[in-house]
Amino acid sequence: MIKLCGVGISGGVCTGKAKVIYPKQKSVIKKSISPEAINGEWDRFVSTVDNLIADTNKIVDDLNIDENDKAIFSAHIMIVQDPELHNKIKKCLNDELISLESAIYEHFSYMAKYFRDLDDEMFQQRATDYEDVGQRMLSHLSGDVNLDVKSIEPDAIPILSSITPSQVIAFFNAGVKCFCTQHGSITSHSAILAKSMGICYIAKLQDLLKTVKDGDLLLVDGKTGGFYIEPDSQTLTDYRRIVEADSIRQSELANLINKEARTLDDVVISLSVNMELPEELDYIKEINADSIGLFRTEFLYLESDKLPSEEDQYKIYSKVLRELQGNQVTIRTMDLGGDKFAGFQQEAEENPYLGCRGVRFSLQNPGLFKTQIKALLRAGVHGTLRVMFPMINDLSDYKRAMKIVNDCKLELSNGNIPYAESIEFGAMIEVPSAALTAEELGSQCDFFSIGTNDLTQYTVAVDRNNEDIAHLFVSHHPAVLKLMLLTLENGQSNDISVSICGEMASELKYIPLLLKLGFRELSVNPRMLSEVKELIRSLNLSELYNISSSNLTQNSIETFLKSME
Amino acid sequence: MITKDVSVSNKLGLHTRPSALLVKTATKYRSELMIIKDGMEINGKSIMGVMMLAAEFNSLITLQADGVDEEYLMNDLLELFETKFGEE
Repeated sequence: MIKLCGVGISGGVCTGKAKVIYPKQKSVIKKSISPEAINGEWDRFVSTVDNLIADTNKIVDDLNIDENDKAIFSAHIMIVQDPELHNKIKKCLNDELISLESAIYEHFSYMAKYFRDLDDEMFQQRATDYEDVGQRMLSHLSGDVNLDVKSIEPDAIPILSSITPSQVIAFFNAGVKCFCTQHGSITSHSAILAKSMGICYIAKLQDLLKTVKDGDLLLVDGKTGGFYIEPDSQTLTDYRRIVEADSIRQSELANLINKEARTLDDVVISLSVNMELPEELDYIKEINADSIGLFRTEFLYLESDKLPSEEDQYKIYSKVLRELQGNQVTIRTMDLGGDKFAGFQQEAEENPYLGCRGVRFSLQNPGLFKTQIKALLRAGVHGTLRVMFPMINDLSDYKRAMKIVNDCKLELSNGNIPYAESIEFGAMIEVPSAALTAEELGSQCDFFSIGTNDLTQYTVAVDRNNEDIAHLFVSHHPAVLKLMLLTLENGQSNDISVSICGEMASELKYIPLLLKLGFRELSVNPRMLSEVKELIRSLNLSELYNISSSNLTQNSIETFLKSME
Repeated sequence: MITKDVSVSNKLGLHTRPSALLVKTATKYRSELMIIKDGMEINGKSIMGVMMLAAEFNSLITLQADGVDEEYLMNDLLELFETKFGEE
């Protein structure tokens, strides 16, 4: 067994027989032509360009690829339409009297070398695009349009020096599930394509072409970048186990994607997901979540060293709303203290958990807050938006936040800037004072969302990062559950939605308890969605140990949790 | 002829997408466009040329528009650079 290590770009574990593909060397020999042949060669060039554009458009149309992937191929079209390419080829034909194939080969080889010699990796990767287009033009000229992909069995693993975007597409069409390259990188167009097509791909495997022979048995781990040639039986067994367990579990869970979160006794639970970063959108759409129950916006402030503008934020929120196609998205306004902001030099607080954070910070920095609110109001026209404020203490806090919202609406209408009037506004319930005054809060808010982590920490007065007392951080403490129930009851009496978006809703052991207590809306970690759904579908609420607000004690809660083990 | 100096303000530099956008914009106009960076002079209507500049974040380039609609061309280009080609 030989093990190589590369960069795992995408996909899981794959086994198969190696199929080494050497780079094609077409029309390398320089051929001269007579002056009479120039016009004919030029006509061939023009028709090749036309064919290649038609061919590329067909690739884009046939394959259901997304906009970013399409951009790669539209760049190919621009390359063949480039006026400088046309000048260059004309010059080669006229002045040097060489054949069209020679001219194309020389030009694209020169360009590929030029890009490969640059310092910047991003630009180096463009060499592959030029090689790809050059090879495609030569293929068209020789009538050999299909790459040598045809001879590849779907279960073979192509091994290449580097891979071009059109080869990725061709492999994908041929049913290939995995390929590996000696060069390439995570920023290449090919890598982006492989990822979005779910093909297992390892790049940057040193000495790959020297080491692997045709027909070698390979084991490829696209996650870790591990690459095994003729793996020993132990390695194979280990991996087989991982793959089997993983695929059984995945298919079980995948079966749930289009199913409702409905218990055996027909109680339907609304399951939405929490989202940290917009990059998670593709995955969230894939798992078919009902909606986004909590979209945190802290990343906007933490990732860059400058504050995000209204326009930056508007674009991000609109994109998320549009992609969710009318399904509800709940965005939480910034939940940060001053220490986390670029350009805010605030003295360290003695007690940050009880300090200026969440909506308190927003209210003290109305400029920042208004920028975010305006972006949200404007983005609201692109979908179904709810906005919630973190760390609301009581009704007066909420009213102050809403005053800013109304100011923003006024400013937008004065500027004739369109915004959504129908957005719902709500409060995060994560401080005991808010839960205890949920009755009056509920008369003004459009919805409640319970943040269980903070609610627990503020109720039992425990910092769970403090190892000595972490065991006292108990989310199922009767005090915490009573506050949650108070919130639920007051939400129901005011006819507003009450959901749970804290970690508790993603913990499988708590799901039966929360459902039995009457909670019907959960927002969970997207990676847990299917498992939570699976559990819900296996529950019969009427058969569970009877627990309710009337008998909520440490003892009854323990009994309930034990009965579910 | 109008000449303007601009700096590349999007983080990834003039990689494929912004280059394509620049070329597409330039191609809409009759005027010629030259782009100069570190003494290298290229045709702004050529994707190959623009990519060859390998203009990274914060690099300085000179735009030179020449023709009947040079002002419109230049305004469009300046806006592209100002809005970072719609990127970060």
